[in-house]
Amino acid sequence: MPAALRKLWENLPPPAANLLAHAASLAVGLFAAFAIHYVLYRIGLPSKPFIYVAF
Amino acid sequence: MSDTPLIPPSPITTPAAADVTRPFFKPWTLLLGFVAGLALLSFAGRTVIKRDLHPTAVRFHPMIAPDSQYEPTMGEMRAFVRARCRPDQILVVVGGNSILLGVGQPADRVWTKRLQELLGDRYAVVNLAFRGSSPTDGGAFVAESLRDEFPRQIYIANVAALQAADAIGIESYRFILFDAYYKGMLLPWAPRDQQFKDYLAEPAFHTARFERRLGAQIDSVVHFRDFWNWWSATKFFTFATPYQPDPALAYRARGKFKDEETDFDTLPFDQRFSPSVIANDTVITRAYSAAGYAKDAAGVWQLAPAARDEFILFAARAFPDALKPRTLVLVSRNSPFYTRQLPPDLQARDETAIRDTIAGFEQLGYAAMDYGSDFAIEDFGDRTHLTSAGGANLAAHTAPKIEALATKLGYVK
Repeated sequence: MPAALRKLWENLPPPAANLLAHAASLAVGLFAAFAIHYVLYRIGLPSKPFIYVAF
Repeated sequence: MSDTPLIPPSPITTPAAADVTRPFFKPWTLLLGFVAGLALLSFAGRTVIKRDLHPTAVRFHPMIAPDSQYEPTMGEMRAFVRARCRPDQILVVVGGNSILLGVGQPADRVWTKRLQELLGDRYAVVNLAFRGSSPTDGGAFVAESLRDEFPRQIYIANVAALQAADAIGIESYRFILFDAYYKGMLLPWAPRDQQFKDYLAEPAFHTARFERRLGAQIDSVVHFRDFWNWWSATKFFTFATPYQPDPALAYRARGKFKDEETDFDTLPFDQRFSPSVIANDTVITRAYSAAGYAKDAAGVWQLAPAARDEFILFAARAFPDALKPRTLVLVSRNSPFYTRQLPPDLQARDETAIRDTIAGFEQLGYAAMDYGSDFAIEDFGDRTHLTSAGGANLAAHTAPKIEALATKLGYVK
């Protein structure tokens, strides 16, 4: 963590720090869900297009 | 001097240590966010897929099909059907391959549009055919999944002579079976269930198919394919595909692409029937009914019992018994450009094979018919696909059969 941020974090009153930590954790959790959701979709798709050959 | 030992200051009280003991992330809140995120996306996937993502499309053209790495979901295709068929109409789902998709016919002259015109408002014709697809792929599973919602339905697909599809479709479109199967949309059908089980357990592919099954099972809960297909169709496509190499169009929302099917009528005859194409297609045409036939003592073509048994076995397993009577199998022929060059002997063998195919399907409870015996060379854009005129001819041949079948099934009085 950069020094300025660390200092800001250290000086935050405990209730505000707690709230911020929960909010950030929730946001990261949501983002992780979004990313996993997309990765599940993407890895299920074929790596190459279906090449149609009439026969 | 005091004997009291000097207690070193606790590291906990130092500012640096305070930073360590005040973690920035709250693991349980993070987990809660993750679970809530998946729940929200799952809900979104279930919700957005209920609307028709392709309101102007008349079929699943290459930009909304596996040709361009876009795999329509069952939910997406079911919404496509619902948007085109009212509850009071008889649903006619067209499955099968590129011939019934209408390759070579522009969207405004595709044969299913003509079929709709001929059948009138009592029917709703929905084209769910795909390039290279078998009779039991996409459209078949979609129609089956809508059996309760649209009980008055007819499913149409095409085959070549003595071709009977696998109950689990073909590999290129098996993603649709996975989707339908693990979302519980299909009827129990022991032959198909067993075949699918054997497919999953095949030792050479066990790991890959296990992963695919796991993906489908997870998808049945969190609906990632529904959500991201909606995103891809309405917002932007998330990766470039070789099918659309133009960088300006690579990420464009798939729903914004038009159906730009090649029009056979604008292609010169020499281009569609070049010497190399003619050479290849002549070989294919000669082999149309080659497998399993031999002449008896009287010089009549007869199908070998083993070949017949195999055909009947596959045809019997292809569709659940309850759905066979509403399934119309069209036996596709080759263009007269090729068949007229065949010796009479081979022409007779083809006719025998087509008759045997129709009889075999009918014996099992399907409806079946052939088309193309009276088609002109101009009705075909190549060996097997139809021009717009040929498509109109196909619609004219098929419409009365559909009406007769609807009457037989008690859909109309």
